[in-house]
Amino acid sequence: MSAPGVVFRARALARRYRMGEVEVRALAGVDLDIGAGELAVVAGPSGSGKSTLLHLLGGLDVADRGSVEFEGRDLAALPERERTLVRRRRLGFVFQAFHLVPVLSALENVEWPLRIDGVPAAECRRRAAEALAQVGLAERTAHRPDRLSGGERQRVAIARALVHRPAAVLADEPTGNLDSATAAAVVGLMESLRRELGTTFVLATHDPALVERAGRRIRLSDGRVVEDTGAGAAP
Amino acid sequence: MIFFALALRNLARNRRRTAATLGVVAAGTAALVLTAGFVRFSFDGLREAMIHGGLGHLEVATRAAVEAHGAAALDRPLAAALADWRPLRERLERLPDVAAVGANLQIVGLAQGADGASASFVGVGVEPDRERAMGFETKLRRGAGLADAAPAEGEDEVLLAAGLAATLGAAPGDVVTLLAAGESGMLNALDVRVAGILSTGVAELDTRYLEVHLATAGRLLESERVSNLLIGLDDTRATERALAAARAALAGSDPELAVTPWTERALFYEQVQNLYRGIFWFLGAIVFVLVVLAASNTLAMTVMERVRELGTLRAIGTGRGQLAALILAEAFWLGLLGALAGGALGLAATGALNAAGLRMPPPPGAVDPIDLQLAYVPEAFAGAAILMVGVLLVAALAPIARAVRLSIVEALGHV
Amino acid sequence: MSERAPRLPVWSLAAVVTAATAGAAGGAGADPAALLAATDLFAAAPAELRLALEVGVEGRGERSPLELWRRGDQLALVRFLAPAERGKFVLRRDGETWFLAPGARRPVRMGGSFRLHGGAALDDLLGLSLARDYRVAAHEERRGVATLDLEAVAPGAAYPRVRWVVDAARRRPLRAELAARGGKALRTVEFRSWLDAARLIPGELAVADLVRRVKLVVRFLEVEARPVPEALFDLDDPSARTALEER
Repeated sequence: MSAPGVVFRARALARRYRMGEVEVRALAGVDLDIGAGELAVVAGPSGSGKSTLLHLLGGLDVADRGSVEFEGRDLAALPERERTLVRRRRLGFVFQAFHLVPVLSALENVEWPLRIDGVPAAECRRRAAEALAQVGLAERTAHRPDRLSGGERQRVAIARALVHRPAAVLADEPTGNLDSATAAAVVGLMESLRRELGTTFVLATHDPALVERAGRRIRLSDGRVVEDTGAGAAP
Repeated sequence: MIFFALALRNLARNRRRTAATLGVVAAGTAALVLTAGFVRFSFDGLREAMIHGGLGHLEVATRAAVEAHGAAALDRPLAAALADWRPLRERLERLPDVAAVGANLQIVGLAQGADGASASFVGVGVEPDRERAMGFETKLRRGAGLADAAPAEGEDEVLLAAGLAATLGAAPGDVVTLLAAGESGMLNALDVRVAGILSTGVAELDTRYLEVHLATAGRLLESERVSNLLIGLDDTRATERALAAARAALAGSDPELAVTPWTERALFYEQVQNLYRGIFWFLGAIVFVLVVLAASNTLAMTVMERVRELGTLRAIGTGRGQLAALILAEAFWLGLLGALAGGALGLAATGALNAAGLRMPPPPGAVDPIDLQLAYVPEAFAGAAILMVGVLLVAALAPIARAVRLSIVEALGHV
Repeated sequence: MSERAPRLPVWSLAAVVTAATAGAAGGAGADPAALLAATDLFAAAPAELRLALEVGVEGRGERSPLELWRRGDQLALVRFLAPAERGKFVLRRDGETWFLAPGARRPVRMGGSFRLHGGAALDDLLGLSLARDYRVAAHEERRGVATLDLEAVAPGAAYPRVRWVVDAARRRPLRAELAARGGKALRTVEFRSWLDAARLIPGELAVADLVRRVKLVVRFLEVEARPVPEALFDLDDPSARTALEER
């Protein structure tokens, strides 16, 4: 069992990929605790294992060795159906390329996690509108992603990640496709939501500006943690 | 349902491909609907031709006669014929749905032409006025029909089927002699004047068939009996009801009487029906395969194109079943919209073909060409629509299997 | 539709004529051929005769009265005597069989289409003369009963094989089995009594059709050897026959 207040606990986490003939060691034994309400930034150059770490933390992938506990549950030990439910109800995801559904409006994109969980349509709409208002997009709910700017799209993605009040949001290069001003605004938004909602944020990035602002900094190199500014502690 | 809405929007993403798939589904539907229309047209045409060509809707004969040679026999033994049939006829003619009841006396024998040529025949003694009331059509080729009134002795007339007339070398006005065995088995012969040449509509029967007045048949067979009573109804659709009414009316008769509907006597109809059914199912199978191939290709491409999106949906908690439902919903729309379009197409094509006034070659066993009038078969429209939706759902299976097996991580990284 | 022969009478005619061509027995010989010749009713019958007989189905009461006129072995006339059948004749002439009825001005030839069940046509039966058309293939005699196995001399006979069972001592037939080529019996004729045994005139015989499972009883009432005018057999001129009716 994790200690109280610990949302993510990784132990000896390792993952290899086979890319053609070459076997890539993405993670080579990572130990990590991330507490509730933390905003942790996973930094490191490309190929250092940031995305892999987020995938494993979010139950999108299963480690070769080691374990991930999320809210005290070993994700690898859960059946796929259960893991899907954990992602649907307890986790939020934000991706570098936003990954919105292009044929759905901003509001419909945000509604999706509620819709697939059987929440009544009216409540879905209300909560999605609230979430969009929280990210400052109350006026753009009916727009489809292709009518929104990059920053707006990422804000829609953040609203989608938060609409169901998850315990944690995993964001993989959330500012990677944004200019620096927009990036700063997006990060500022996450920071304020973290404070407001108490949601844990784990951000993978190699944006130095973002890394500098992080309260908790985990630096990866070649699949290993080479720096952790405050293991297990809330800022 | 958000899945249905999303599915519809997804289909609108690649309009050209969706339109092509809808085209295939619509063409398949239209083909089925048109085929069903043609089959129904053929069935109905054949049915009415058989009923009004002499089969009648219902037949009343003694149970013994029916059991002797089967329901469709043209050579009922005279020993099992109906004796005191006129009161029986009156009772039957009072039943609802009944247009008229005509007596038949079947004859099997030998016909001899003026120059001595002879041929065996199967013949029927009929009541021309009753046949007319039943809507029976005698397809006269030459000459005149039989007079309504019973002919006086020495003035008997006959209608020869074309093939039989040719064998006998007989033309209207000629005298032919009929030889047949009567009730006791005793032979009799009778001169009859050829009033006209007819066609039965069935090539094989045309070489052996003839028709005389019931009185002539009775004179030849030296019998007052009749082989059966044919009941003509106002509408073929009333067959079941009238059958029940006739059976109830005749229950407990002595000798026991059997009422047989036309369906059991038209063996040929059943064969043709089976033939057409086979063709229909064969065509249906082809359409099925074509549509499955086209649609599963389309659906597979929509899955391929949206790998990253599907991965995202899975990542944020969409279950495998929900993903399957999403793709099934797309398949459903393709099937439904395609079927609707195909139904409209089939309707339009049916109207156009019917308006074109095409003539069809004679159906199997028949003699005359027929005007093509495809039927509108509501069940076929409904059936084709259901079939198409089903076909599309089947076509979705492989793409679905692919989609739900996607690795989320690989799908997210997919470009 | 099968080619269905008219039922009883045509069938019976075969039996009638087969049986009715009775006559005086020839000289008695010891060998099978002589025995056959001595028991051949057809050959024994007078060249010209009138024969009155009745035909009925065994076990049923009604019998049809008939009259048979014969002149030589090419001309035969069957006249139906029942009131309802008056004016009807079956005429055999030069190997052809014709049916005549009051309703038909011209005779109707009953050709091959009037085949009888068992495959025999009327034509063949009317000409059945054992001594003329068959040869003895085998014979056996036991306790005075001779069994002659006959084979048709001419190809295409109605009955390629005939088993002819005779009372050897009294020189009269007992039974005939008319069979197909393979030996399957199609019909049996059983001589039950004799009107004039010495002249081979049967009294009653039973003819069984083994295929249709019908047994006819033919009863000879009177045989009269007398001149028979050829005009009776005229196909085109019915006057002599009409005269018979008016007699």
